[in-house]
Amino acid sequence: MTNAASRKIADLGTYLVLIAFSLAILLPILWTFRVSMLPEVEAYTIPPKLFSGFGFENYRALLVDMNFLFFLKNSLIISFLATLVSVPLSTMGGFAFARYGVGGNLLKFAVLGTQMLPGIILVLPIFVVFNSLRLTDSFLGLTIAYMTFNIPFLVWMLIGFFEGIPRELEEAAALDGLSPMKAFFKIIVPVATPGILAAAVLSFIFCWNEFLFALILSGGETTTVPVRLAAMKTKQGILIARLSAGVILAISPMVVISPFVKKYLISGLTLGSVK
Amino acid sequence: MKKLSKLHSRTAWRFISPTLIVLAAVVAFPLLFSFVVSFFRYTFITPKFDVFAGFDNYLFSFKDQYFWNSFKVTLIFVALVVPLEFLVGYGIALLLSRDIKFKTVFYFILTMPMVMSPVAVGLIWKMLLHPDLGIVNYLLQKMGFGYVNWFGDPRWALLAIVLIDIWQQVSFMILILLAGLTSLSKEPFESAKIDGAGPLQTLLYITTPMMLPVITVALLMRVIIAFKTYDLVYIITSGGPGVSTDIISYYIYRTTFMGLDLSQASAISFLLFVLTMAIVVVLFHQITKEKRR
Amino acid sequence: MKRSTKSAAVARVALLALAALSLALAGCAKGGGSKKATELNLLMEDVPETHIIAKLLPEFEKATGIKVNFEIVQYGDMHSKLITQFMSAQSKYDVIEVDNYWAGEFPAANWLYPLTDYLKKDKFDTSVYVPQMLDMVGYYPVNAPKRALYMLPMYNYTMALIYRTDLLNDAGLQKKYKEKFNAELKVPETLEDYVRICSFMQQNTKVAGSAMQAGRGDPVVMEWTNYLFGLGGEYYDENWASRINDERSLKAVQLYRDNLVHGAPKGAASYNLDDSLRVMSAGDAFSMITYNWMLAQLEDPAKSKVVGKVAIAPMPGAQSLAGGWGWGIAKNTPYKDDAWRFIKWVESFDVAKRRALDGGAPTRSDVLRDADVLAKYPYYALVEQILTKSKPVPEFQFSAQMVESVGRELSLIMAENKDPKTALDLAASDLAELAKKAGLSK
Repeated sequence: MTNAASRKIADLGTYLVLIAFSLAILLPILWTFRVSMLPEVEAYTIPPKLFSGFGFENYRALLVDMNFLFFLKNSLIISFLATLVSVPLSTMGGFAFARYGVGGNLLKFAVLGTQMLPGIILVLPIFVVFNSLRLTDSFLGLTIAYMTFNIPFLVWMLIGFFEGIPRELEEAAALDGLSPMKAFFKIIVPVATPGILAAAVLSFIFCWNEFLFALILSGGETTTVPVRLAAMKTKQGILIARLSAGVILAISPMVVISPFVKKYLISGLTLGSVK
Repeated sequence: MKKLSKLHSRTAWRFISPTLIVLAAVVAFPLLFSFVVSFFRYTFITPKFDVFAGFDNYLFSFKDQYFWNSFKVTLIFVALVVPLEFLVGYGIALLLSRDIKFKTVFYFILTMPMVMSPVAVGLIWKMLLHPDLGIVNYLLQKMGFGYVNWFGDPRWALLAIVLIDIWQQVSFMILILLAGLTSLSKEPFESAKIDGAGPLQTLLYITTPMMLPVITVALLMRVIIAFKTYDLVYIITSGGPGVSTDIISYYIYRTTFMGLDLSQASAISFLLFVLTMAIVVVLFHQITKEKRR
Repeated sequence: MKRSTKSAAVARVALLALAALSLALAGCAKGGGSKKATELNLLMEDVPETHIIAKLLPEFEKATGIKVNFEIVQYGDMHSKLITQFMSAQSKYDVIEVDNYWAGEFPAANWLYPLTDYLKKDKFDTSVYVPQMLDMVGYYPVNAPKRALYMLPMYNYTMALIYRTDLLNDAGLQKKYKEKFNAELKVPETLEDYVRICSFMQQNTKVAGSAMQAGRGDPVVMEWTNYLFGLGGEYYDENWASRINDERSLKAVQLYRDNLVHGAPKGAASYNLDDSLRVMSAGDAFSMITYNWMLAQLEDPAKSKVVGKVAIAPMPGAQSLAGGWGWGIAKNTPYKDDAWRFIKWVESFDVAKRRALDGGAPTRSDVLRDADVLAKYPYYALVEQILTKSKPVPEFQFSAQMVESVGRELSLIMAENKDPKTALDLAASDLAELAKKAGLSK
């Protein structure tokens, strides 16, 4: 078989697999969208009449009656703030671990270890402390809490990326007379951008979806999307159609982030390499 | 091992200090508090340190048959989700890093579940898998496969939770692994092509070894988070039917907010901590041992 | 050099945190007098009653100048959130919406302020409430001679039987039933009758007999307790000895299981309320044991396909399960007097009646018998009967844990075929442990 032919077959196989998985992911989401357009009573109708009763009532109820944009705004602010602070801190921390092995394995695992306890146990002491410092129901409080949960994971993630960057780059920089700090910002960071961006996206997503601490630490002013969506599970039944609308709305940030992320993550460019 | 020059060591500590300060300020106290609490009888009804319990809280767990059940369920859950999510995620990331069209579309779709709140994902899948009114069973029956009692049959319930978790979390793997693949330098691949290496050889001997640091992190993170999973169980099955999905984090949740027993819950949490740490350290050494070869 | 400054910083932060915590916990001790409030905060569940009251809040604000904020969370999460507030120096939530499961826990843990003085001062007449409601979410300890009133009932979700009138009155089915069992097909009066009718319906129509909710936890316990109470059974006796494994419980388990196997949808072992309600609203079941006001939901065309075909009846047997919410005052709120003002207002006859007319679930006889209310909801006469024939699960510090233990064992019996005697014995020993832990039994 010629190279071109086997290429074609490999490409075809690739497309088939990707399409299959994309469908597996997409179909439940499309179904959710369908339910979001239905009146509550039709949500569970079997056999399903696919488009019967389609309307925007659930979205209207969410956006107008429940003021859903308020919760979206809260989630956005907190996720954005926490990410903004977590990523630089984690990048520097990850680099310190990767390159200098600072504190040895013990410190590295200690940092990771802070995340091995279920949140349920930490929630009460954190709440009591935050409450007395007036950090509950505040963006600052939640941002600080989220930073603390994100950083250990992001640090480890970036350790992985930094270890993949050849040391020759810094050695070259040192030969050129750059201080370690400068070498870091001018040479390393650009090369590690895919990893840093992935960390930022991950951090944003952790914050966007986080439930327990949002529930306990937030109040009327700072309620986030996951908490408000969960509240639709009432003792009287679940407003599944309205919840579906909420989920569709909550996916919206992805629409905004994706093109931005695409540029760095999947356009296939390697930003910098060993010359 | 490179010897750290004094200049470099100072930089390193400067780089890591902000992280350590934030962690110490926020998490150190709660961790310490929980640890101390586990040795007393501190409940929400009597939130005092009057009664010292020594190791009683820890020993009590060992005598509880439902604790061991949760332990077993959790291990099965983690042993299933982590390897499966990794294999699928790695496969898809590799495919996405090839030179094909529509990457943006695929990437967009494949990473959507990640931005869905786990509570919402649970409720939606509960709807889809409703045994009598759900679309999945309807389609299965139409295709001749018969009725599956997704959440009512102990044999299916844990599997259903595993599948839902994979559905949602595989995008996490794709995100990290794809970022790793994209940041690999091109040179080794070019040399390999010149040497006439086939795709499988490239994958095994060049791509994967170079990806090892990122793969390690992805696996470790996933293991830690998997041990802490409880949202899906909380929302969908409440640990049932019977005790077939009674994952340890949910067990801890119940001990805290229904048993009102913070001491007991803390003790179990620290047992979980020790287990998770052990597995993480072992996994880490296994993988990096390969690297050092 | 760097090391010492870093560890000094860490030490300082740790000390600060410790100081903060001790301050917080110390503050728990004293309650203090009552301050004047400009705002009151309440944590509420997202149910129609909440929205009905929310619509009336502007009137309260106009009359008193106090703005009332409702924060809405899911039922399970309310409990966690309230506990964290109670453990702090000052609770953010002033008036507490208390579910009857917590109606023992909260007073026992000293988290609620008794209403006795306020009732006396304002001469608030509690006799207007259906007495069972006050026992359910009002007094603590319920059966003790010295008891105080901690809550006023807000709305009820006592359970009853809702059934399909079109199926029950169907001539063909009635004939068949008579032939088979030599008895009339009518509203069942005993549990055995009910189970028999359900399996009959399942065999002779295209619908299930009973939309059961045997999902582990709340769902199965709530439904099964109706069977237990219907047979005259109980969780504990007057001395708090556990009775959950006696013959009546075993019979209740056997009947429940029969119904689950022969009279319920196939997936019922995992159903919660929402799942079974969907089945009932879709017209796929003959009956459902559920909250009495579900009738209104099932008569709502926006939510149900069986409008006009359903009716309500008391649960067959001795008693049904009472449930409901009440209003209480947090012990650690600085605004106790104004919190009472809100409770007094929202539970005044006028407001209570308007809530009922708007679709709320009343807890008071004066409202249930009011001419206007009865005109709009004629079946409320029956509801009052149902309320008087009900009782709640035992309410004490560990009610939630008790429900969890029983729920777990019931789910094991139903889904994993665990031997009922073994399972109930284990539940009984768990319950005995809990009563001992609460200091209620020796």
